[in-house]
Amino acid sequence: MAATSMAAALAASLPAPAAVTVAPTPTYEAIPASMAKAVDIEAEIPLTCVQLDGMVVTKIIKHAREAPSTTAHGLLLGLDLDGILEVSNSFPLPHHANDDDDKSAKSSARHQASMLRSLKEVQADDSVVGFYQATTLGAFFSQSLIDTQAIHQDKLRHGGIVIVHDIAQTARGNASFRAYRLTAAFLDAYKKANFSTSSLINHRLTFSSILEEVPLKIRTNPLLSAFLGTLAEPSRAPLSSATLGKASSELGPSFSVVDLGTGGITRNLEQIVEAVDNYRTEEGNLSYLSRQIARERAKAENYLAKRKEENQTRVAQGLAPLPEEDVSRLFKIPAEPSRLESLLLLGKIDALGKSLGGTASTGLVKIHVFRKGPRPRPLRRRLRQRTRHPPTSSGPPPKFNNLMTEVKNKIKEVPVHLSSILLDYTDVPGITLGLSLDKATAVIKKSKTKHPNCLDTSDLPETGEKASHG
Amino acid sequence: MPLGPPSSALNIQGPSTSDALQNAPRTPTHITIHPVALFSILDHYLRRTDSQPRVIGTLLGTRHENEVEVRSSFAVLHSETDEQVAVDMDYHRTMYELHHKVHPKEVIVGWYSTGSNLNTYSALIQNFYSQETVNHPAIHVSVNTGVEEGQEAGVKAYVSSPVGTAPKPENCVFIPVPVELRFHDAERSGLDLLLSTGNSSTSTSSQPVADLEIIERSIMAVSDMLDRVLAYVRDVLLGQRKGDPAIGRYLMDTLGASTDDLEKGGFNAALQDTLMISYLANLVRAQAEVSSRLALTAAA
Repeated sequence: MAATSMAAALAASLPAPAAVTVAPTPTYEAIPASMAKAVDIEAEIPLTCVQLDGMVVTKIIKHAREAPSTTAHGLLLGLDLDGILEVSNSFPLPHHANDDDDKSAKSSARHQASMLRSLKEVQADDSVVGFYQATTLGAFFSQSLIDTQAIHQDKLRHGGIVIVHDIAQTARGNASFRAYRLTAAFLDAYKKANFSTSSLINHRLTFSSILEEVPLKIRTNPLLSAFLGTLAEPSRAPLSSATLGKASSELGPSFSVVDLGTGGITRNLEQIVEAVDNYRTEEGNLSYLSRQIARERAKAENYLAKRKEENQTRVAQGLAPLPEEDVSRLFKIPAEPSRLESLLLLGKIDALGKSLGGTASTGLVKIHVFRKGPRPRPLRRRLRQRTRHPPTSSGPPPKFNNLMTEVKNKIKEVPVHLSSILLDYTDVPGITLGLSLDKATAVIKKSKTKHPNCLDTSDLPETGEKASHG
Repeated sequence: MPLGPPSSALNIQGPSTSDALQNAPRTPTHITIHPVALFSILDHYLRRTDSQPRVIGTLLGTRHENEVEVRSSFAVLHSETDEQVAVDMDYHRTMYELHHKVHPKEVIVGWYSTGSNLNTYSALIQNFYSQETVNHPAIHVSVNTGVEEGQEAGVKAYVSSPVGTAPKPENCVFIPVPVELRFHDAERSGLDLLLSTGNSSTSTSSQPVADLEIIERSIMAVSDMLDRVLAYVRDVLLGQRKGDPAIGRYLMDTLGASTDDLEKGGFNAALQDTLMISYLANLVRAQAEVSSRLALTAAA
């Protein structure tokens, strides 16, 4: 077969990317015997997964934390192989505050081009595969993100992806990276620049179907893994009172996740309030516009009806009917407003709500763990007794043993309690409220019988679930 | 804590000898490195060509008093042969300018190379970078990737001083300086993520990780530590090991931490607050969902 042999020849001429990354260490990663299957010139193999390199993870986190605004963004570089998009490098883009749009776009493009050229010279990947965006509290829906991604999805191979990094969650102890791209339905509506109600209905768009999530994996190359292992290894220096105060390795354990503090909640609530306010303003504008449209339309219809009536009387009187005039010229019916902004705001509200809910639920678990963990009072009383007679050189106090057993037994219960809490948690009123959603959907469904034109929303994806558009 | 194998070098910070010299820059006595810089170096090393025994690049960061904080790094092209060493200066300048646009606070502080041998070329490159770091002494960080047999992975940092009666650029003494890893607390979770990824058998981990999973991991770690402490305490009680009073004091301080504020009714208040917030969050989300669907039905 000519086709296969050509593919094989291509495969031979291409350097195997997997081989490049493992070169310095003698690990035996499975390198496919033939790359023919993976060679994908026309970008026909659909992306199934995004693989983020460890270095990119740290680069994004550093940039997101240090950037002057909360909207740090940059480009992702890498290549795709057999359906896996490997992001191997990234660089930040300069932040432009209140600059001239045109000027900043131009300088940003220049920055990009010269950065790419420079990276190519040191054998780094230089093909742009998407961009990353920092966000706080999950509220990353924004016009600029959508615009950039829409351009990328047109220009880049495989459409590119956007990786969203949540600073707030990372600060709470759970580094979070998510990969998204626009759904086909949204892109279609976007290209037509039509976000009227009817367009939304045709494309079945809610905020949860604007973006689809692509599974994301983090990968560390063997060298990095080995190096991290060395860093995390406890130092062999003998334990002495001088070193006790410090961590014994560069990367000692951290327990910021079990911190009971609920610092971020106030800000989260404030942001929700702000987003809801914005949404209400936007809704107000929309309803004002639609009232205006309705008014104009009613006027036009009145006019038509009058003209018809008049004509009828004229016909009855045997006169020639007046010509039907073009109504659209007489009455200017404004174009239906775009609902994109309100859609994005709703998405933002939802994301903020979700992150608030997440904080609350983990807070709940922590509170319960704390209560059901070591029972503080008896432990403290005994300790107070002991501290009156501080340990001398004879070693730890004799009662320490029992004490520690107690603590340990209590703490051993923790996983058990964790699961029982999780069971409890489903009874929290907030969770059952989620059920009311289904009721709402049922109501909407019922209304369908009354209004036949209305959309059946039952097959729309639920919020929080991944949209599954092909 | 040293980032590499312990060194026997003594670091003496000389007293400021005269007031006239106060404006002169002081030799750095302490160097910290951000993980990004380190990981970039490793990545650069991975991407070197076969003919390159080592790679070099520029270190960027900030200076405080006599401490240098290395915050990022970028690769620089260079070639070494038996006769000569060449560094692509244009490239270095371009990259620095590009970098400077995004992180205006970071300036050139020195250079890195992989491998741990210092030779004449190192001295020459050091000389070049000394010109780049106007008025401040350049630092040199050598990262041993630990790939070669019998070498331990680690990071060493040096400052240089001229040697000989007539100083020549190719002669200098590299004086080791203590180096340590430093990052912001908020970035810690990212490193934890990489650490657990690196420890897994496939070197990959999928995102997102549930908050609960991480909490569980932390609690397990606490439990393990308690196990270790318990074993130690038992050994001491049985007389198998000599007790250290300092450890006893530390344990006492840690275990005696106060929980008063949460015990006195604060617990229920906190619980109610949390439940309320959970309720609110779900309410907001439900409203948003209903609202978005009503928008779809409005055309009827």
